[in-house]
Amino acid sequence: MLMTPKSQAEKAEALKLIQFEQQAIPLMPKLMRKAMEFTFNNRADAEDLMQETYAKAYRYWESFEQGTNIYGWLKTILKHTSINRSAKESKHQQVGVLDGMADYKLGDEAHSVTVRATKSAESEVLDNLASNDVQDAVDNLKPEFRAVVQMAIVDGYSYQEIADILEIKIGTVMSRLHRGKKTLREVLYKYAQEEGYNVEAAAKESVVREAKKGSKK
Amino acid sequence: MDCADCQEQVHEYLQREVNEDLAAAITAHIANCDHCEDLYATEDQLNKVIRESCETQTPEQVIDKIRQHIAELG
Repeated sequence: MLMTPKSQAEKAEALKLIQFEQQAIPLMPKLMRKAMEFTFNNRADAEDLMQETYAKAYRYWESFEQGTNIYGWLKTILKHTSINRSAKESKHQQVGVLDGMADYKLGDEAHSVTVRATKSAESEVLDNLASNDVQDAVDNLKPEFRAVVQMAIVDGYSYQEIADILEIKIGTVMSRLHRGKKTLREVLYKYAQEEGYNVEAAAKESVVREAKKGSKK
Repeated sequence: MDCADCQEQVHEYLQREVNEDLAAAITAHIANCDHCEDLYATEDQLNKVIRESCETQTPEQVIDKIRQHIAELG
């Protein structure tokens, strides 16, 4: 059979899938029993929970330390996924920090606190990036940073949960998140410049806008 | 709360990892400081684009395989 040459990334992805199938998939019956417990024996819910757990396990695969207890690792992800799923169902009843912030701003408008509808120059740059660029930038982070960024920002895990799953200290979670995001900001800013987005003009425009607003007061 | 404190805590604020008092102090500072509001807006926007770009990162073929294995469980 003629093999088509594969890129380094494709090879790594293929290897990852093989490892995942050999190590994680065989534990499914055992995990399923846990999933049934967590969902009070509701089969459909348990299957959804399993699917989400395994999809996450695949995404976090690089952060699993080969040779350590894989069942324990999968069970931790299952447990936190289950907790987050039930939390999501009742989420609309909660008022979070950021919702509170919106209220604060509205409430204080009368007291002439600055409320700005415009975006900062840098956030406008981010807004104009292609989704592929962002995904590339995240993929290119060091695995230990990528796992934390993915878990905290995309999957919404708390610092404590991330610390549990990755078996690291909360302080390490924080520093990896901060450094990961700093790298992303720098990389994405560079992408934007390469793609011809005029960062300086955007910044200038934003300054002018600010000045205009200021003169209205 | 000064700018340095605010900048140090902005990630924890966004991840809702600060207690109520600290959150209130940061909110108040951001509302009064254009510089820190910009920083907050940029970090918030960065989180948003990361979320949008990376949400379905598990490849479809892997999801299919997972689904198939789950369906086979007795």
